[in-house]
Amino acid sequence: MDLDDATAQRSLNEAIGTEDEKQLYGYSAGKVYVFQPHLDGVYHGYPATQWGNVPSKILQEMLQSGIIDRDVYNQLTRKVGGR
Amino acid sequence: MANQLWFKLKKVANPYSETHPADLWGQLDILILTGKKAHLLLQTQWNLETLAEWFTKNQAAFSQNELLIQEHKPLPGESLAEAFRRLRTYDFEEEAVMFRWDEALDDYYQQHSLRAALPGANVPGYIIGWHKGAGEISFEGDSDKNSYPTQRDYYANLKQWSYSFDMADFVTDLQQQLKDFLESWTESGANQVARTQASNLLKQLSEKALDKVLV
Repeated sequence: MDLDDATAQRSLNEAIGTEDEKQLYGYSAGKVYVFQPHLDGVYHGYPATQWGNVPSKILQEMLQSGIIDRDVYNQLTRKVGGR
Repeated sequence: MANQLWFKLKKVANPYSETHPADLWGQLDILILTGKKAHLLLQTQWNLETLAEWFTKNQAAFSQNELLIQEHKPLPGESLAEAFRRLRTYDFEEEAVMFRWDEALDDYYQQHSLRAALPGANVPGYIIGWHKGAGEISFEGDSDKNSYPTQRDYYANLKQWSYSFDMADFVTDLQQQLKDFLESWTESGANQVARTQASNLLKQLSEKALDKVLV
């Protein structure tokens, strides 16, 4: 996790999720974070860096509510450039 | 004789047991048997609870569904991974159109990607699915540069590849592997939460197997 404890906790507190998934998704300083549950109320967080780390519906919600911009959305969805 | 795809699972000591005591930690070896030669496609260790959940939830989808995104499908000669990569390059001006496209891609990804089966793990984006009348596991050479930094040199050397395989045999074998793995936790797991979770997953796995017979 590349956030200090306080920032990570704040991101987790503000994280959003879906009804059918256990993971939560937060945002801090230009990055989207995934919080994977391990025990009730205990999460392991990591930055989303690739397609599929964050469900499409979550990214859409973040984009539409202004949490992320189109550049961040595209970074986690579109494949651009060559191999 | 068709190729055989194997996911071999075994319970191993959890190096994170102090911070994640309830994880169903194990080793996953992915092998493809072509003729008499077995090729190791991946060896990793992770909380395999997520693999059991993914298999139970998506077994029917990944073993039967063709890649078809709003009438777009693989081009002749393309593997599933190559086609998926190409479909990800499409961009759209209108947000609503982009959202529908991305949701369709995401649905396919969640049901067919190794990364979706092992969320958070440092693994390549192998795609597993039904293609050209058989199972297929494929890799597009992956250009997600932020992926698996600790193993980047290893994966950077991998070219794109694809193997067809016998899907029915794979599903049957993985079901048995998961059953044996989960039973090893219910019988000797040190953590009560882990034992309970393994027991619940075992029940779900058995119910899914029963569904298959009844259908």
